[in-house]
Amino acid sequence: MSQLTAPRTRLRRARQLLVLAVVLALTALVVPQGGVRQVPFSLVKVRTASAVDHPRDVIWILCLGSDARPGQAMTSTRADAIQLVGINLRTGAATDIGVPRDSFVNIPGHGRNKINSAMAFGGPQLMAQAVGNLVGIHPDYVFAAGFFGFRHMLRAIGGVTVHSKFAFSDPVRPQGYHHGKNRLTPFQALIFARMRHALPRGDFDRSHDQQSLMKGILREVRRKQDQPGFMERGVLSVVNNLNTDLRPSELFTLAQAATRIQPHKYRGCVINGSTGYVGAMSVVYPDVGEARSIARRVRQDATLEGRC
Amino acid sequence: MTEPLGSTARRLLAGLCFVALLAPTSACTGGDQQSAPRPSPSRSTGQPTGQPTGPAATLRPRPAPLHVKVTRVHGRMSQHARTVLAHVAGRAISTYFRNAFLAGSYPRSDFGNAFASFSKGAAGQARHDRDLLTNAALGPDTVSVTAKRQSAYLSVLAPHKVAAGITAQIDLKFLADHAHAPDQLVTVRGRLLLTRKQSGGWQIFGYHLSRSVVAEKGTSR
Repeated sequence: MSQLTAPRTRLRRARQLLVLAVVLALTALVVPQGGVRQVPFSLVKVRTASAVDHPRDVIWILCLGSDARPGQAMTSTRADAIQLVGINLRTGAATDIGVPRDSFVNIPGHGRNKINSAMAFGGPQLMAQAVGNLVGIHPDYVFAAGFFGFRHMLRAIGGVTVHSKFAFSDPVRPQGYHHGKNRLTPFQALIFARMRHALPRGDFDRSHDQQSLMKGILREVRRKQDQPGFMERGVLSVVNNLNTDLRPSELFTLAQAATRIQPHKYRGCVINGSTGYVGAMSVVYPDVGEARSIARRVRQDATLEGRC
Repeated sequence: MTEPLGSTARRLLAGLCFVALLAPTSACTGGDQQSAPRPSPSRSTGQPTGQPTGPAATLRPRPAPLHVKVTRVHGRMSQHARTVLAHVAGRAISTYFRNAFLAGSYPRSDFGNAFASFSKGAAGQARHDRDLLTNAALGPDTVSVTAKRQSAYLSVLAPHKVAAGITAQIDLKFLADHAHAPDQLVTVRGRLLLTRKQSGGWQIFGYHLSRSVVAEKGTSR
């Protein structure tokens, strides 16, 4: 009996093994390898888009650096830095027109005087009027910052890198200010913006340095704008340290819009002129024709093609 | 002597057949979703919808809900105000996510309401970037979408105890389910800029977003 059943058992085992083999073979064909497409590496194309909405395409902002000392009202002291900045939010272009602070001009209601005295005579409004009359572009906004406010704002962005046309020394920066790139602390940046005597063309070169500083700030903000909270911290610092009648929400939208400005499209011009004296007062007689000529070219789109 | 062996072999064989039949289903669903329901065709899953409906409904994964949190306040805001703000500002973000990516009836080619929570100017600019800012590029070939991650972390400017502006760091991931091609995992990341609407609520007035699309691992057709 056992001799008869042994071949049958072997046959049945063989059939079972055959069925098993067929099932396994079918399984291997039907089921993909875990359903996972194995790739040795992955290259993913990442596309980006950005835009910021602002009610106006072109905005002119008068940026003033007041020389108010602690305890002095910022808007009733002279303005040392005077930069009229136009920004085109559609194209990312900007033009910065620097006005030498000693420019001898007509101050509405106060006769002829240095343009920076307009701030002391009538605050930011009169200052805007005086600059507008000289250049031919009347600013939409006026921002005024004092020494300490300026330092606070720069601290909020973590310092700045500027390009200096000239090398000079100052005790606040033991290594000195080099020709070319300089990474500056907030205080060193303030000195850089105020330095005049060490520069060959005094007030004109200082105005140029102020434009370099503005450009450096723009680069810094653009570089850090995607850090969580960076823009809010910066705008809060502006709210706390800048004299402006803009509401915080307007400052926020304006600051966000300003990040659209591309540094390589940021052009600066300083209004030239001759120097002289009115009595004992050292003054600059600004080249009004040049100022108006620049204004004509940039008024509509804040975009300067070619040389100043 | 032989009977026990035959029985074992049959059980083994039955087990193998069961595994073989089950395997294709689990492979198509994806390794991390083996126990999760499957999305139903022609239906978006942007919002948690609970039970499947209709006779054609099949099992589908539960979509990730939108998570909105105030993470930074520059200025001052009470805890209650932060909670309310997250809810109200979250509405604008949620509207954008749903209209532009997650809601609607797929296959979908109409994304006309994608920018309903944008300011007028921002919506105009966004329409130029619609391939990136909406699911328009994949919509017509997609049968369903499933949110895998939706988060918005808010940095708030509040100088006078009232929110004046918000930057939302967003992270949206969703699975685009295609009928005849591998699923795709779409990631949209970056910043949305929000400000108050005059009529109340918040609107998106700016964006800095990036988008990437990869074939979802664990899917095959």
